[in-house]
Amino acid sequence: MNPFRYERAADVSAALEAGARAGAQYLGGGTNLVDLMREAIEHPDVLVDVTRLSRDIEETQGGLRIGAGVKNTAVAADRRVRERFPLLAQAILAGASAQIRNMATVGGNLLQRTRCIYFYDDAARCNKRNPGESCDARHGFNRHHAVLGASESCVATHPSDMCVALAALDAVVTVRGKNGSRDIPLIAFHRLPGDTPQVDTMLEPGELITAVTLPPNGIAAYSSYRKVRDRASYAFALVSVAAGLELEGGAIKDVRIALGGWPTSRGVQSARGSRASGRPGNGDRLPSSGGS
Amino acid sequence: VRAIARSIHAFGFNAPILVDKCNQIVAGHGRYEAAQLLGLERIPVISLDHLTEAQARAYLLADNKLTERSSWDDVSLAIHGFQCGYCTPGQICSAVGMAAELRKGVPSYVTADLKADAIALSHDELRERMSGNLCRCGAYNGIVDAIHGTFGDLATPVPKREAA
Repeated sequence: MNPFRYERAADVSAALEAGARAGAQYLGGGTNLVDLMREAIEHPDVLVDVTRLSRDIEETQGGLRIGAGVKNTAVAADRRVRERFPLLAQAILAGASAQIRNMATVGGNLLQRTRCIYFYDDAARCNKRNPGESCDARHGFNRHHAVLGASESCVATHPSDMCVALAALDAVVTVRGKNGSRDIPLIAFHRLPGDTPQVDTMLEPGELITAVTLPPNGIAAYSSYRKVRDRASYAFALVSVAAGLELEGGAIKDVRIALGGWPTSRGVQSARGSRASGRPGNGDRLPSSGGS
Repeated sequence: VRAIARSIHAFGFNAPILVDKCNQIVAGHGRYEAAQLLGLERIPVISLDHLTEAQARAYLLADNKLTERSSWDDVSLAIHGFQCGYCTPGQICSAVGMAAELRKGVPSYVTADLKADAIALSHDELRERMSGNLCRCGAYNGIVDAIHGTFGDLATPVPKREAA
């Protein structure tokens, strides 16, 4: 492991100042970053600990604003999340292990690397680790790799379960940078690999996630997160789906479907205003909404 | 002591109490109290009268007196809640943390009703909540039973496994 400095940010402004320096990285729960440092894949010079910032879950108009520093367990255990956004609680609880969820933060969950086992194996070639090197994963042991959204240069997936639910729930990511604050829809937050798989997200250097906002939704009563994996627990998804249905007087008002097992969590289909909407919700098969 | 008593009741008195040459208990205070609780008249005892006082003290230290205060250890020993012991400290820490989370009503992936206030420590809940702890010996059945024996008062009763 390379030597590095550890600093704890007192507030968001101090974090932004510290995080703007070359070689600095923000540290959340460390459940992915520290792992990657141990494997000598990430080499930060400075870790800026932001786990003491943005640790509240606040009411917005009918929705919730979840601070980036809130632990995954705390989100899943929150009464308001369990009652109004059960899809999110389910998805979080499907991910990792209790120990990891107790450490991992919401912001860090979003920023865990899009990755595969070849990214971790420095005896293998990897375009994400060494841009332009080639990819041994494409024709290697690829059971866990992406089918949809992959490119010639990279087939890694973003393994977050939480993000799949956030995609289905129209969540918005708030980030702060030197030019102030901006909002990024969750479904546009992660990048498809293309020929630059080393860049996972739309964040500019030094930008810091401060919150994830959930708008009100009508799917709480009819929503579910399903995950297919090789073990019954504590395993990444081979594929997963977050789905929700809003009914009004027996008719379908909205359908939300987001797919996991992609390089991003934007495999999302909304049938709001499409052919699926307005059909009777009495067990009829839904018409395909196209583009999937 | 109640947890030890439950274990003795379920699995028998399988670890003798150690006494010195004056019949003072050297190891097994918890088991002795549990036996009284259960109204047992006779329990197995091993006398350490072949040891000098200093040797008995050294043995006690080696046997780690602190663990005698932990109900986990007696239950775990009785039920064979480990094999090589490498993962045991982690299993114990996780079990204690898991029990605290359950008392607070933190749901898990297998919790059927996310809105429930109280969650029982069912077999499925225990396995899911402990899934972050790996045991390279594969002693999971014993570990699950030991945790049930220790934190059983959180549980709705699970069918007892037949003793091997």
